[in-house]
Amino acid sequence: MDFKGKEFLFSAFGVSGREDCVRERIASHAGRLVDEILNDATGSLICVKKGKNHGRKKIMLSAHMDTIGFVVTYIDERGFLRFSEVGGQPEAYLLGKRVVFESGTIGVIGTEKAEYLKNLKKDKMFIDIGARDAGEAGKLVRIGDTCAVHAPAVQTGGVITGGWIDDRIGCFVLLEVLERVGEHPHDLLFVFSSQEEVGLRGAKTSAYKLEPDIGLVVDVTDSSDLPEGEITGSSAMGKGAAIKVMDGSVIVQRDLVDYLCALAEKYGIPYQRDVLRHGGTDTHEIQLSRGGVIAGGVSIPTRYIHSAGEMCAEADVQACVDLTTKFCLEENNPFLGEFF
Amino acid sequence: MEAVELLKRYSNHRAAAGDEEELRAAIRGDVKETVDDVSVNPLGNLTAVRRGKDGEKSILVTAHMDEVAFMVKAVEKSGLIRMYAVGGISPKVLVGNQVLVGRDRKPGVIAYRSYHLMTPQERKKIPEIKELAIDVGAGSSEEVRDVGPGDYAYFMSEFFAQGDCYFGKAFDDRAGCAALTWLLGEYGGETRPEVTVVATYTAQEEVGLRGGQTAGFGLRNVLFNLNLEGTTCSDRELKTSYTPITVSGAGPAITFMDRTSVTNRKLFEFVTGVAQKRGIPYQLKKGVAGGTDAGAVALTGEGIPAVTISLPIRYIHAPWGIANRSDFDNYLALADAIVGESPGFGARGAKT
Repeated sequence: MDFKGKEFLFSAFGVSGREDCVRERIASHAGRLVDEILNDATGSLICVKKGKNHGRKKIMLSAHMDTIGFVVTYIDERGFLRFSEVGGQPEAYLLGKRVVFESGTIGVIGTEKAEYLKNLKKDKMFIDIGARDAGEAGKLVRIGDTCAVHAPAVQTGGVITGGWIDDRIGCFVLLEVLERVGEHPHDLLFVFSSQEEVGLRGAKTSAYKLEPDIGLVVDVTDSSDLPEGEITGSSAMGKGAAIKVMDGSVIVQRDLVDYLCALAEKYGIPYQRDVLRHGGTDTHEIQLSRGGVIAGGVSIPTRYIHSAGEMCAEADVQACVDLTTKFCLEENNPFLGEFF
Repeated sequence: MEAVELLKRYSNHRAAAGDEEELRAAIRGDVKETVDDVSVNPLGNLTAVRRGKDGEKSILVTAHMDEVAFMVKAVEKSGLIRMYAVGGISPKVLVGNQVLVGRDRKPGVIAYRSYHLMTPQERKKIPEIKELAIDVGAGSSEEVRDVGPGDYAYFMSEFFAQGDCYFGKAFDDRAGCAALTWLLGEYGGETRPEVTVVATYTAQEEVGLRGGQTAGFGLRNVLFNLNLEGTTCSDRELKTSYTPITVSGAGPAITFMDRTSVTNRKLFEFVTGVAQKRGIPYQLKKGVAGGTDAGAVALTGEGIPAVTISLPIRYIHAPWGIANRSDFDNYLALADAIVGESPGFGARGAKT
């Protein structure tokens, strides 16, 4: 697994609704490889790669580029920042973490009293950017600015660990697929969606705009394999591409699940069937777009999702790249045949 | 018409989700002479269109008609009326309030056991809405035959002004409705806006942005949605919080993010820029609680950039709210300025 040239995926800022930085980086990276680049009003980036077939159909591939984070709601007279969440993250994941703003300003999350450690509450926490007072803080950060936990992901011993793996690893998969597909039968619409973490918003408007014939979402899924851990789903890190059967927001059409599994079998790609008790992914919005769309998901099992130490296996990422590539190249996709 | 007269009349009208007719009829009467077209959609949204000098471009300006209120669940044999909340109402603000029930607007009070009859534990506890009832003074259900399940009950509060403040119910979002009607009046007669103003008074916002989901559907060439709202104001919280969401008297509040939307960055900067350029006082809404129709409009079709500006209202979603006179004036001024400057918001959506 080689991240060379795509390291920016783990450093380019993009909290939900404020994805400009990462959007520009992805656009400039993908620009030379695609036929057309579009944006939608919600902030998604759409890279279009035209297929060669006459009567070709539209495949929408989607990974969200936004990350969870925080939004500044108040700056006190001593320059400390109060915040609200953008997307969900447990208190225990926050304390002592560094956060980064779009401008590059760095802060640390603290809490008011040591006794609060036993029962952490976000409204007793603040972000400290080391400013002397409100005036100095105001020069660095404005109310309404967003920030995210700063823990750039690294590769060691077959795993990738750090922040923002959800879902920059999915963006990585899409960029890999984009580079590999060469000549392909159908139009490929690579959507780097916005605002997923606050309610699957970007995928909704992109799916409406593009009217795809089929959708495939690359995102992370819970790896339910921790010692004495709660069983939250069926997938485990290192066991292959997780083919979505169901999560808290979607039930994938059975034929599509079967087709993806058969494709993995055919090409010897490791896979597992993914059932997740909770969660929601862009698959939901694509499936329910307009009159309904066939939509599925291929996911990377990830531990400690939404923490600064998300962890996934390179082999699973590779399996997702391989399976998604094959999906794009397959001439006889039964969902894209001539119906009339 | 004077905007405050509109606020007073609209505030006194009774209209909850699914029962907007009374207010809708009043608004229709107020706008029909000044606009080019008025229509009502199946969900109950009233849309008034004032065509602009630019025949292509338009802006969608929204405000929701419905207020928080109650729906009758059952009339008990005793004549007591049990109810559900329609929209978010805390039982903390209810006991002892006057309400009007049913189509005949029969007066009643929200009843609960008196102080003397409560145990010491009960005195500290807040009853749930299902434990409360409306007493219209009937001896039995026979005497309230004209009220039945599905009927609505409304707070009785009548608007008044005192000092720098307006007092009344349902400023969320009659403030927005009043501002919208006033705006349309500004563009009546020989005057036309630069771009077409599609003014939609939405239904059923308080139960889940339902009217808002249909408000933007099918519109073409919409530059953006300006959503006019009322919002929480916590400057009188007894337990001092470090950050009031909004402060009464500090101007209309502009939303950067809430539970249902992240304001399109270019639009947020455009709106704050307009306020600065025109010297209109404003504040940012310093909290992300609550959702508005802007969240639903933003996700319509391919997406529509949407922004909310709000009048700060103390004690919102309760029988009485208090709004500041100068805030209301500046709210009108800001809405007017945004509409006036709207052609300046040229590029639609995110950067291309």
